[in-house]
Parts: sequence; C-alpha cells; structure tokens
Amino acid sequence: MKFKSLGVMLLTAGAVLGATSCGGPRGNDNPFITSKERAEMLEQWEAAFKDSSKSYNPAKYLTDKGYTLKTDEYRTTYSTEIKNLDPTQTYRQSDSAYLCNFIEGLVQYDNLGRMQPACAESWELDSTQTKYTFHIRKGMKWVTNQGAAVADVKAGDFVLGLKRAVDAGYVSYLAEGVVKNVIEYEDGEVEFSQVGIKAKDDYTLEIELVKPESFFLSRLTYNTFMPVCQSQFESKGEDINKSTDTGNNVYNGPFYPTTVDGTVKTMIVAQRNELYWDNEHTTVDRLVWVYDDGSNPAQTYTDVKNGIYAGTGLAVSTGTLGLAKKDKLFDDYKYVTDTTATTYFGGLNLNRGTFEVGGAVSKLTEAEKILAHRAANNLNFRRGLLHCIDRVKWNEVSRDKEVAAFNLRNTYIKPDFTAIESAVSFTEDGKTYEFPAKSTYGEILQKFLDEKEAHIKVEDGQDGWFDKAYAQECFAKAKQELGLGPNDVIKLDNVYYAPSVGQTADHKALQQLMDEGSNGLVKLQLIEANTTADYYYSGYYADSGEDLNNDFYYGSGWGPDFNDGSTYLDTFRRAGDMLTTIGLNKIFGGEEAPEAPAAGTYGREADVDVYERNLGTFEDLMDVAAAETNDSQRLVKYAKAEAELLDKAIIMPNTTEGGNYAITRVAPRSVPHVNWGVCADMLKNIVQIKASVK
Amino acid sequence: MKMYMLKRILLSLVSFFIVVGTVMVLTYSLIDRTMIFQSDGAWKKYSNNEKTMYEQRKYEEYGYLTLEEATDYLKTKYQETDGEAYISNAQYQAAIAAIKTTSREENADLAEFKMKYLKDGYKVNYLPQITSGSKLISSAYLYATKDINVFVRIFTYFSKMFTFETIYDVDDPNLTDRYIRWEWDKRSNMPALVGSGTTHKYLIYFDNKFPFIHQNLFHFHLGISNAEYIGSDVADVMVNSQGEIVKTEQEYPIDLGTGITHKIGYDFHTATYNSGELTLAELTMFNDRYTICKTNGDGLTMLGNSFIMGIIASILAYLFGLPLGVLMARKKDKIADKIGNVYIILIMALPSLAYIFMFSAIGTGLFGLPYKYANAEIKVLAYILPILSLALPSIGSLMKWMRRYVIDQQNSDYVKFAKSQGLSEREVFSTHIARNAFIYIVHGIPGTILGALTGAIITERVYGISGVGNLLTNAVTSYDNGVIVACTVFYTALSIISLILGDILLTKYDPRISLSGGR
Repeated sequence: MKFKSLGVMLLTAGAVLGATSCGGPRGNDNPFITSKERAEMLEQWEAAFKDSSKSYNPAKYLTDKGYTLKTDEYRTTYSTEIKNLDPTQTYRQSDSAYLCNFIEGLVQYDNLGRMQPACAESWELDSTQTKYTFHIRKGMKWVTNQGAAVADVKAGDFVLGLKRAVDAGYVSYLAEGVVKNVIEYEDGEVEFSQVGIKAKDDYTLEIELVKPESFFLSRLTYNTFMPVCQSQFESKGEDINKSTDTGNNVYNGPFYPTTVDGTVKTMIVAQRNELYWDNEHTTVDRLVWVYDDGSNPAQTYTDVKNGIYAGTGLAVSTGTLGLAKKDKLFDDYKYVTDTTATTYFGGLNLNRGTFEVGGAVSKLTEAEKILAHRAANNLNFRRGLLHCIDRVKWNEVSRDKEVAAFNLRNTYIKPDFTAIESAVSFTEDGKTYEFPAKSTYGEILQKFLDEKEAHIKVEDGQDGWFDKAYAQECFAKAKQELGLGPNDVIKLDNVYYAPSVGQTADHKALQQLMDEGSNGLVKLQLIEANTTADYYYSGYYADSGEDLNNDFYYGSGWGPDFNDGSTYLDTFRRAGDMLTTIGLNKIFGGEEAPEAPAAGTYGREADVDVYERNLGTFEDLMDVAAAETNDSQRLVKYAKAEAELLDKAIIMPNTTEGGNYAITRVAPRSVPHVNWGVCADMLKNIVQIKASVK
Repeated sequence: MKMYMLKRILLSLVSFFIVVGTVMVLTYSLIDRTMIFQSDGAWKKYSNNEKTMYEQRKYEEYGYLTLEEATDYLKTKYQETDGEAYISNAQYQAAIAAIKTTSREENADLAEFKMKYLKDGYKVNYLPQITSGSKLISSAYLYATKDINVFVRIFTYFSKMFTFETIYDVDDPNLTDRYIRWEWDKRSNMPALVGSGTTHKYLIYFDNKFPFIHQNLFHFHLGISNAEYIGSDVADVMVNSQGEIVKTEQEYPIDLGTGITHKIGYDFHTATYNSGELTLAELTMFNDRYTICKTNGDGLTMLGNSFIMGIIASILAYLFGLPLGVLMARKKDKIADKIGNVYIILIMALPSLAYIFMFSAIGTGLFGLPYKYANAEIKVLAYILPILSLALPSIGSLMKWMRRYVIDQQNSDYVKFAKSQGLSEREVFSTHIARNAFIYIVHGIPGTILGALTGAIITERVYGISGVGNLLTNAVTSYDNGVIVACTVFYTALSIISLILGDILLTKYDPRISLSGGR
C-alpha cells in the first residue's frame, strides 16, 4: 500500500481496524508467511513430488489458513535492466528473468519439476530416436507492447529463432553437435535449410538430431530454442533485439512489457496478456520490477514491511537482519532461500606449468616445486588437504556468521538436481544397488560415497567434507609415501588480488585454516597480484592447464544446461572445459610428451599420464554412463562416476549461490522448480498473500 | 571580437579532438581488452577454437578491430557469380573443405584471401581443426584481423556524427514515387515536411510535446553502445521515451479527418519505412508503407529527467544561495553568519549519500513523500526529494562564494569612497557591490544550465529516476567502449560551449571586460 501522507495513513489504519472489528470471520493478519506454514507447504510439495497421485496446492493451503491472496500485481526489485529483447541473442540470466515471462518456447516446467506442453501441445519421437515432431498449438498470438495481436505463432518462428541463435553465437553451443548440420552450417558447408529444424507446415515442427539423446527435450527450455516472430523480423530486422523500445519485438507469453524503454534504471512493468493460451491460470495481473541499486537496504526493508514489495533478503551486513529482529519478525517468518545449481569449487594443480605471470611470481625452489607436484599427485595428500579445511569458518570471512554454512556445497552436481523417474536396481561386483523411483540424485550419490567410505555428506548447507581425524589419517599415510620427516612442510602457491580487501581476507583465512587443519604440514604461499590482469591470467583467463599459475586454485564455477549428469561431469573428461582449473591441458590424443627435466629440477609431466593416474577410473565410469540410454540408469551411473571424482579428491566443491535469510509473502514452490533453462524465473503461477500492514 | 571568437572556436575544436582522441587511445589501446569477458557467461561455455573466434567477434563488435573470416569472404565471392546457388558451386565447396586441411595453402581462393588482407595490413591467422580419433572437437578457422588505427577511428567517428536523410534512404526497388514536400498535416492541423523514400515520413512536424516542433532531417550520432544498450546509438538512448505506455484517443493515419478514433499508444509522427510484408493490423491502420512507429511513454526522457531536476535545483540554489550569501556577508560574524557557515561546512563535508539518506528519511517519514519514482502514486511528487537533494550542496556553494565576493567588495576602496560621499548602505550595496560581485556568478550561469544536462549520478540511482548521470559510470564498469566515447564527446562539448558562452555573457554583463584584449 502506498500512503500519500501521515494523515491518510492514520485514517486508513482506522478504517481497517474498524472493518476487522465488525463481526464476520477474522482474516489472517500475519504480515508474511510464517516459517511453520512454509515448512508445512514444503512437506506437501515433497509428497506431491515423490507421488504423482498427490497434488500440491499452495493457494488452497493459504486461503484455508485465512489469508487473502494478492492477485493485482507482483512487485519486486531489480538491479540489472533488460539488455536484449530477443532471447536467442542473450546468455544473461538477467535478461532471461524477464523474457521468460514474455516469450514462451515449445515446452516448459511446472512447479513440481515436470515437463509440460507450452507452444507445442504434443510431440512424438520416431523409431530412429533422432527425429522429434512437435505439434504447435493453434491460435496462439504474438502481441505488441500495447497488447494488440499482430500475427499467429507458427512453426516457422522456431526455425527463425534457432537460425538467429546460431548466427549470433551466444547460446548456439546448446545446439552445436546436437541438432543436425548446425556445425556444418556454421562452417559454411550447407545452407540453413539443411539444418535439422524444419517447419513441415505452419503447425508442425520437426527437429532432427545428430544422434539419439534421451534428455534432448530439456535443452528446449533455454534461449537457444525460443521462437522469433517471422513477420516482426521481416519489418524490423535486427532492431527487434533493441531493448530501448519494447515496441521493437512482439510477445507470445503470459505477460507483455508495457514500459517503453527496457533499459532504464527506474522500473519495468508487464501486463497480463489476455490473448495468452493459458491466461485463465495466470494468477497475477501485473508484474512490476522497481530499480534498486542496493544502496539503501533500510528503506527497501521498510518498503517491504509496508507491503510495497513481496519479500526481501535479510543480512547482517546490510542491517536488515537486525531490523527484522527488532521488529520481532525474524523468528516467526524467517526462512533460508534455495541454493542454485551453480557450483563453485577449488582444487590442486596436478601438472603445474607456469610459475610467473606478470608481477605474480612464485618463490618456490626446484625441490619445493617437485615436492608440491608429488604431493598433488598423491591421493592421500589430496584427501588430507580437502578434508582438513573448516569451510564454515572460511565462509564466515565473506558472509555473515549466521548464514556461513547455508551456501556451502559438497558435491559437483547439485544434490537435488533431478530425480530418477523409474526405480533402478542392478548388481555389480557382487553388490546389489536398489534405488526407488523419485530418488534424488543426492540420495543416490550419498549411497555410493558411503560405500567408498569417502567421509563426504552430500546435502547443501553444511560442511560435508571437514573431518580433521580423517584428514590426519590421510596425511600420515601421505607423509610416509612421500618420504617426509616430522618437520617437513609442503608449500603451495596461491595468487590473490592484493588491492581487494575482501579477497585478501579470504585468501589469508584459507592459509590459516590449511595450516591449522594440517597441523602445520601445508603452508599456503600467498602470491600478491597487484593488477587485475596478473590475477586473472594466473587463474580465470589461463588459456590452458599449463598456464595456471597456482598450486591451489579456487573460484571457478560451473552451472548445468540440461537434464543430464554429463552437463556437469563432462567438464572433467579428457577434453573437458574445467581441466584448466586443475592444471591439465585438454587431451585429444597424439600430444607429444614434454622433455624430461634435468636432475633436481622440476618439469611438467605428460598430461595424459597425469590424467590417467588421477582420473583414469573416473573416465572409465564416464564411458559407461555415457553409453547408457535409459534416463534413470544413466543418472545412477553418473552418480557413480561423480562419487569416484569426489573420493579421489580431484576437486573440492565449495559454495553455491543463495542460502540467505529472507522473509516473504510468496508461497514456496509456486513457481517452476527446475535447475536448468530459463523456466525458474517464470512468474505466471505465483501465489502470494496480501500484505497486512499494522 | 569576431577574430577572437573565431580563434576561440578553432582552439576549442582542436582541444575537443585531442580529448576525444585521448579517450579513444585509453579505451581501445591501454585497457586490457580481455577484461570485457570478465562477466561474459557465453565466453565461459565456449572452448578451443570456438572460444577464440567468439573473442574475435566480440572484439570487432566492441570496435577494437576489423575481422574478416574466410568463410564469409568465400560466401560473398560466390554469391556475386552464382547468387543463392553459391552453396552448390564445386569451387566454393572445395575452398570450404580446404580450410580444414593443410592443402589450404594450395587452394587458389584461400591464397587470394590471404594475399588481399596481408596487403591491406591485416594479420592472417589460422586455427587448425581439433579431432580426437574420428570425433570433431573444434572446427578450423581462417581469419584476418586488423586493429583500428586511432586516427582512422577518430576520423570515422566524426565523419559519422551527422547524417542527413535523403529520398534514397529506402532500399526498396518497388518504391518509385520518391519526394520531399510540404503537406498539410491533418493530425496536428499544421503544415509538415513529408518525405517518401526517406527513412522517416515526417521530416519536420508539429505536435503538443516539447519542444513542439520536431525534425528528422538530420540526425546526431554519438556512437553505438556495445554492452549496456546493445545496438542503439547513445544520442537516441538519451532522448528515448520512457515510462509506461500511454494510450490516447487518436485517429489511425488511414482514418485522418474522419473523426474515428481508437485508444492507441503509437506516436504516428515517428513513422519509419517498413520493407517487410505488412500485417493485417498494419493494413487497417496505415495507407502507405511507413508503418513502424514509436510508442509514447508517460515519463520524461533521460535528458529530460536530468535537465528538469538539474535546472530546478539550480534555480532553487540561486534563489536561496545568493540572498543567503549576501545576508551572511552583511551580518558578518553575527549569528546569521555563524549558522550559515555551519550549514556550508556540514553540506560540503558530508558525503552526498549520507545527507541524501538523512533527507529522504525525513521526507518519507514526516511528509509521506515518495522515495522511489516507480513506487510513487503521483509521479510529480517523486521529483521533490531528488531536486532538494541536488539543491542542498549547490545552495551551500553559492552561499559561500557570494559571501566571499561581497565581503571582498565591501573592503575595496571605491566602497569606502562611496560611503564617505554619503551613499546609504542599501544604495552602495545594490548599485555597486551586488553588481560587481555578480560578475563572478554570471560566468558560471551557462555552465550551470548546460551542466544540468550531465545529470546527477548518485541522486538518480538512489531515487530510481532514469537520467544521463549513470551512463558513463555504468559504461566504465561494463567496458562499454561506445558509451564511454559518446559520453566523453557529450560532456566535453558541453564544457567547451559553457565556457565560451560564459565568457560572452561576461562581456555583455560587464562592459569593462573585452575579449579581444586591445584598448
């Protein structure tokens, strides 16, 4: 509610008090959804998730509790404006967060993570398992930013969309090597008409794949496969992407933007699209995003309390946590926000090739370099190191103490990434594995890890690796194997950006924790980088593994693109994209082995040898998983491969995003629940309670 | 005077070019260009040769270099001879295949490509194919790049700064009747200069929106944004309509004069040519091919927001600052002066964010004024707090300077002489001191007026009003080279013009000052 003056506020408050005291059932006047109610709703959601005969209805739950639902608008803050109006031209989540509400693709996910028809009302897969035929819903309209229909949604719109995605190159990687002839088209060998996407007629779309892929449909929820209105593109050309005028493009989704300029740092408003095919299920009439640069969190918090915004995060550093406690809102209404699918991790450099980048220079002697290399390649040392760091303490440096554990991650693939559709049971090496239907990935992975006695707990929000006793065991074995005396130390380089106070504190904390956790065995050598170039080229911008100027490097992250274990785990295969973060070059075969170093000096080994030694078993398990065609079996096999990766301490998964305190009026899981694609930001079915302002 | 002005303008232009050139060198040559990928999510997902090519294409987009790929070269070459059937030309296919192998050295087309670009000063690069067994990991690429020379860059930039519309703008062979002529505009009941074959239909027209007379004959280009407003020219961004779409009762162009209206948000005067197929909706509204129109928003443009806030704040500053400064000077060392000094010191010392928040807390708490523009029910009220926040430091500054000037004058000989002659305090002050003190103020007036156009960085962000203030700061953090150069040009031009105008105003105000310097 927006009050024009104190006087009006008092009058209105009086009227409300008067109204509620006049007989009739007393409405629920909680200002936010309580933590208890939220927990109950999540239980119901879990039940519906595991058992498809049950349903989850947050709207009914809340109205039964006496709440009034808010359906006129959903208002929240934003800090990044719309930079592209055509989803095929952008990879940014900040763009997709809006565009997924304005433009709809072939399929979408619902709040239980199940795939549902969207523009395609049905589809079939042929006997070769490589050709999909989609039947486009008839009568869907493209509307302007004034809500007027200009054209019908046709199959050809999807062909144009993919062509634009491939030509622009930002999100084409999801189709390269997957849809037939995309790579050949990019190389100039064929025209686009030869590419495996064709409009058989206005309402039939055919997509042909290079090879069968059981999870192909999950790719369709990303920008790569979004439609572009053909007639609009004909009249406006490349201008359809210019977000300075929302009239440049047209929209087929549940909402359309009504602010003229999407790039302003003021507000973005969207209106219900009455011509949307499923408009009757859209739960809110207007979406309003208000620009907030985060400079005045106290004001934003006050606005949330007054019912202007639907919810807010609470943090000690911004003072909002303190305010919520003072207002006695914290205890009853707090909850912890969901973590995301992106995983940030660290790891040892298994085959270091660079010791100097600009001013970031290593001070290790040859003997120390040799020892660091031997240690990194020693399984027990790696295990000891990755299990000896108290990550909660480490995280407290950059996060409020209260929430330090909430965004910790212990696996590469998010534990609730997905669940198996059908039960899986198989026997291997005399052991029988049984996983009931709807077991989550995390549950499966935990079983494999426990079997290996890996000492890892998979759930997010805790330090599942820190185990000092186990670390000491491993270090003891390592010291023996490396031939170290009781006073020997192992020095590992770590480059940090010195001008940043936050970074310096973070790296120093790591140094101290490694020292403590290893009882003085591991001494992290902090190397100062005084320019951003030195810092980035030592790590993030390292072209290949041998350019990594760190012995222990952390901060890399990876997120999933589709519904398969390979989207994460392929990054550590022989030609994987994340091998750089552990110091290995990509291995294509036929690489020359480096020259043997002179006696007493350090020299890099052949990457293929290092890979085989440390990741050979992982790669074998990946081969097995990749060959599996049944989705559920496949997920289980990838879990087995990841268990191997983590048990061999190749990487230390560290943190993810999310995991903060918040209060909200939005019902949990009323929006799509999925870990890839753009659907997670769709707001058409959002359920929120009306603010009751005291 | 005329000679002086001419020399002055010439020197200004030279310094203008130097400033712009320096910024271009800094932006394009001295800042590490790889920084543009820091927050690029697509870059992370690419690898091997595709990553390198993605980088090269982005560099070209950002204006660092020109990129020519062999595949595009071959396509253009064979399209000239074979049209759309180029793809089945055997030589074309042979050249495409040769890129992947070592036989590319022998292929005539590829050798031609290499020679042509080497001669033009390009570096020719080759990325060999990467395979693992029979599996293709990364395609082969042959391409040429050339960093853009700073003088070429400056020249191209300024040569593209002004463009004029002509009747040959529209590239549609079906359009035969091309003209520019005056017509009677039934929508505004005024004459309008209308074109056919020009990009815009209405080249000069009148309507009821500020500045009431509009033109599309020539356009001003400051440079295209790479990251923040992708593809749009910064000059357009500054004057783009903002806010929620406003639908008004208007006649469709096809219905002009009939009185039949519809509620529609288009501004039909902004119509540009549509070379595609006209939709049914367009055919019901328009009677020609000028069917692409902009929409009206309920807010001001970026420039408008900054200017309004800046001007009103400046007026308030002069209205309050000058008299208060004079008051302080006349009541020197008394209570009024002491209070004034406290205010000045406080407002100068406090960081702007601090007093903005303090002020807004009072404004929203006690007076119920809206904080964010987007949350305000009555939008005009949302400007009050930002304008006051902007005015406060200017008031303090003017108070300080006016007080200084007046005190200086008060101590000068001619004042003592005038007093001894018997003139009253008031007469001395109004006839002499004020006018002399004002000289220093006058010089700054054009600067203040034009300075209102530069916007206020913090105020606009905090209150969520979209102005030009944050254009430059955001561009720097996102490495948006186009906007950085455009803003530099804009601010430099404003500074130079204000300085010149200030000097001229000074000579008009004080006849003793002469620009030519002679007797």
